[in-house]
Amino acid sequence: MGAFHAHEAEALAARYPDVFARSLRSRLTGWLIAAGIVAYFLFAWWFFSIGQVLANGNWGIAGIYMADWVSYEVRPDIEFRDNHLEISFPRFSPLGENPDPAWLVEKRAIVEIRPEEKGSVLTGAASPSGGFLGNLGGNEDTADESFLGALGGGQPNMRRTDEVSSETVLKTRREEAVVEASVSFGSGNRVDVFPERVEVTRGGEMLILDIVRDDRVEVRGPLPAWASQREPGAKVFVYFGFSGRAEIGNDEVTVRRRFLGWENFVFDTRSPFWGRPAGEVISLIVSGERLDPERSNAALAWNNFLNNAEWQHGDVWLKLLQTIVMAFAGTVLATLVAFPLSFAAARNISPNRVGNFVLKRFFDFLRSVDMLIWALFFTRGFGPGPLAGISAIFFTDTGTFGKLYSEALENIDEKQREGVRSVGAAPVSVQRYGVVPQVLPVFLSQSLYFWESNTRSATIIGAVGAGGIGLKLWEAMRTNTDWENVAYMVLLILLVVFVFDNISSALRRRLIGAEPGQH
Amino acid sequence: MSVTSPVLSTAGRTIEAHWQELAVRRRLYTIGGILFMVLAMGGSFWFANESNAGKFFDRLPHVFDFIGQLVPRDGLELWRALFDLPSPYDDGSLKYNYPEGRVYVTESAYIPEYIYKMLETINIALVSTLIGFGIGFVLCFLAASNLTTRRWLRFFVRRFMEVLRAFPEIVIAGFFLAVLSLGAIPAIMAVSIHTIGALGKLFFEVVENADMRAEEGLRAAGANWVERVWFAIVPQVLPNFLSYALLRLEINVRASTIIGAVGGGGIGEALRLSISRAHEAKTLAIVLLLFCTIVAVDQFSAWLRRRLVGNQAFEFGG
Amino acid sequence: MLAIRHVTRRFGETTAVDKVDLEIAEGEMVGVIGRSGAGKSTLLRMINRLIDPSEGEISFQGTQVSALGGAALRRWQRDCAMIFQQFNLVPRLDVLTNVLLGRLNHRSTALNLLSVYSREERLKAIAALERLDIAQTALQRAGTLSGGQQQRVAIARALMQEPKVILADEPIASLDPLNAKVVMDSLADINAREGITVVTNLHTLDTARQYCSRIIGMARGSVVFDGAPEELTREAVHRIYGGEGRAEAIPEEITSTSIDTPLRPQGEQPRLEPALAG
Ligand SMILES: Nc1ncnc2c1ncn2[C@@H]1O[C@H](COP(=O)(O)OP(=O)(O)O)[C@@H](O)[C@H]1O
Ligand SMILES: [Mg+2]
Repeated sequence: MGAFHAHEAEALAARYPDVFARSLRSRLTGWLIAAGIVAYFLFAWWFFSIGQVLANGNWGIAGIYMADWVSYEVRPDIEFRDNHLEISFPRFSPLGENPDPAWLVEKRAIVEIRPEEKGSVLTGAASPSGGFLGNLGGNEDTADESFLGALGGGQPNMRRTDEVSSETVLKTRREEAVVEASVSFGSGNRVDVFPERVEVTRGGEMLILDIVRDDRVEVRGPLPAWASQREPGAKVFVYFGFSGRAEIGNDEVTVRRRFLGWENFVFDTRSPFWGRPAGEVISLIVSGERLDPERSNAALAWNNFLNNAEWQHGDVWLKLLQTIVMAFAGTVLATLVAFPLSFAAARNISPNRVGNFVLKRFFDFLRSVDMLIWALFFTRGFGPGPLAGISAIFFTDTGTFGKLYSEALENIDEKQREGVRSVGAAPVSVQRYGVVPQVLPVFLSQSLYFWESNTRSATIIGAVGAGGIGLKLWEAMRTNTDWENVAYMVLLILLVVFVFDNISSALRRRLIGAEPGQH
Repeated sequence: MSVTSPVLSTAGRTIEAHWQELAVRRRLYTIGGILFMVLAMGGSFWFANESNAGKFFDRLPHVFDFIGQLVPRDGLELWRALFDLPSPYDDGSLKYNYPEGRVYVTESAYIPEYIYKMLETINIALVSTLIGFGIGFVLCFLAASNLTTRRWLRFFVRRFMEVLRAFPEIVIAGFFLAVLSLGAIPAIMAVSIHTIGALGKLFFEVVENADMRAEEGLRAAGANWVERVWFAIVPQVLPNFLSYALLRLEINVRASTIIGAVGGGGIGEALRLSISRAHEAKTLAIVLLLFCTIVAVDQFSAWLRRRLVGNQAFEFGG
Repeated sequence: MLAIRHVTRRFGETTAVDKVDLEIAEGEMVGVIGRSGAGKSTLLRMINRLIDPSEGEISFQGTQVSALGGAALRRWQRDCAMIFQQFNLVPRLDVLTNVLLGRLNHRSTALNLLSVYSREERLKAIAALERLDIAQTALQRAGTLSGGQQQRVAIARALMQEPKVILADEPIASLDPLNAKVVMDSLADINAREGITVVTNLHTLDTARQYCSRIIGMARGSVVFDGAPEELTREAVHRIYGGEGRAEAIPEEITSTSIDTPLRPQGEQPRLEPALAG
């Protein structure tokens, strides 16, 4: 097939003019469809003002929220005093009542302590780090109006009061106190705090800050890329990536040290089992002396675990069970009700045209009044809780199943029915032996399919008010501080959906033979 | 079995015994199954009733009270609420301030609030379906065993799609609400992510059932992977893909309404507010609007699907 | 020259092709015959590299075909067109596009995906269709054509590849006798006029005798006959088809499907009937 001569080509083109005209047109349709989709996306971009919303988004916070899914922060405060330091942890610190972490090394010495003026060490003073969203690179405004406006507010940083007695003696006393604190951020990075100076080391670079107490923070030398200061003399922020960050102010250093993992997942800090290694806990449970004379250690451990204040295992599981029950009971009820109705709605089973029509429109009505509407109505009717969820799923799916079942009935093989009828069976027996064996696997398979998908629907309508894990998830999210709890619940939901998915498809495979395309 | 039963041979008796045994076992299974279901349902209802705010039998007589609460003061109120016309009962309260919330297109022409919100919801569904279609389309070929020979890649893509499908939508919506504050994006994200997983799974099953002869023909002609997929598989599976996508669109209209109700804006939120505040005319207007929209979308999609793939039966849901 | 050396292919326990040694000169028209399951298709598919040999090597004009991979492999596949019993067209695309798909490997992937073809390429495709006498169907969907027409579209696609070898795997097995003749005539014409090597699997002896200058007989994966049609004696046929001990028990299918089955007179070249004049 060599090249053509021009006149041959012309002759050929002349012989098949429509081929060339058509190929242009068919090519254009492709482009037109593509252009239409692009135009629609541009319209949507404008309609939802996506650009603006994305630009106003608080992306810094997104990273922190994501990190919160799998990690936690410990937030010691190091306050500057005359010639010593005072270290305090928030009251609900994940490290318990008396934290003494290895990454925070204190050096103590005997110093002369002059009494502080009253007021400057008030307990529970509004700390700059009060709210979790409080000070993330100056995004306070956007953060505050985010997400239904409900800020969890974190925990107020209550200072420990025992060190400063209320009847302050106006005399100096000699006492042992912290004179140097070193916070390690891993791989040689650290913050060393002295009463009048802070040294920050990161990746071989060192930043020295001089503290003029209750006045200003002076930076020696240029600021490295990992540190920031809004104006000279103001607070300095130093960042250590995932490991955390520190804010160095003129009165205190606020440290946020981040650790991978879910803290206190099994026992919270109030539990007597807290902080003990797993082996010890097990031996306590198996054979240890009773920690609580009222009950056995196993019962105590189980109780402490379920009532873990941070993770609320018991409540989460109960709510999950509610969701599962909603999906299960709703689907089963809908199946039971739709089953007889579908026989009445199928044209070939019950010959009453008016009845068929009315029932089918009724199914359509149930289906088209969305599950959301049913859920909202029944939440008003029954009050929030699984009953509302069950009813919503039941109403919607009665419509869906009725429609699917009656369609399946209308497609049955008439020969089997004739066979049964030919032996002189009563009408009910004809349905029982001529129809039900054919359609039952199909019916059950469809119900199983919806059982699995309803488990997911039940989560969502739960958030609308029907209760269950959906509502709990929603509540955990709106505080913006409990993302690790969200992660925990999501994991549980994924697990349940996977298990149900597998059960449902295994049962369906057994019912209707191997499905194509299953791996 | 004592009445004149015919005399059976040894073999016949064995068969009869086996049949009996099977029948007994089947009956046991059936009884066991029914017993299990009864117990499970009873337990479920007891549990649901215990943990519900209102108790079933206390509330049952009042469940449909809301229908009584839905009767507006006169028949025209419904239309006033729907089209944002001023109400004669307007007392400045939220209940009758229908003209509030009009979206003006020009000086005088406006789109009524609820219709605008309904459009918002439909567009959320449409955008999400398109996004889900696009990404699911790309992923499904990587998950199909007849096109992707690397097991690990197939395994990874399939698990990925399963996670997308099962990931609770409200969490995605909630996360983006926290980051972006209000707007339609959280709802779009939530619905599209689920759509990617759901369509991807349906798509790769279609692809795995595709006729591979054309693909072989192109392979023999030296076409690379992308070209083989595009020219041999896509023309075959596209009608089914489109039909599934339309089915998804129906589901997504509902899904974006629900997501709206939990904070994603659109008609869902308006409905939740008006129901909880007992604004009967507004509620009725929204329910009517939603109902008509869903019916219209369903009908349109059913018509288009029939044109695409004929009367092929489909599962829906997922 | 296409050289096949010690090529073996196993599928689990079964050995589909067993240590085959062949040399096929340029411009030959070779027929491969044998019972169903003898390994004919497997042999052809290994040459095209749709499947890989378990052992042995295949080379073409000094290039080690069996060692190619990636783009080089696809270039070889372009040079070695393949025609299938089931046509393997894309049924939902129109005939012209199906033929243009033969050009895939001559062009960039991006242009292919956007279906941008030059006027010259379209002209070539129509010329190929015209040569096979089906140009009037250019705009129809390939799936709507009859079997014979589809096979001709497949040959047109093969021509668009501008191949050096055409492999045909039972190209006429699902066609009626008249269409079978048209298809075989076209292959013979391509072989005669362009000098393209044609290797074709055939399930009927007489077609092989009629069209091929060389016949290879396979049985249980091995080559048991290799020679000119006239050397194909009754015993040779018996060796290929294994007549269960009786020479006359040759299955009927072997000799029946073609419409005119005159045994070619000794020494005469196959009578070439170009599919279209000019
Ligand atoms: N993809 C495959 N997997 C397993 N066995 C195969 C495959 N392809 C062919 N075979 C086996 O290889 C042998 C030869 O098959 P084939 O080459 O198709 O024979 P022919 O084309 O001569 O009828 C047969 O026994 C067949 O079952
Ligand atoms: Mg074969």
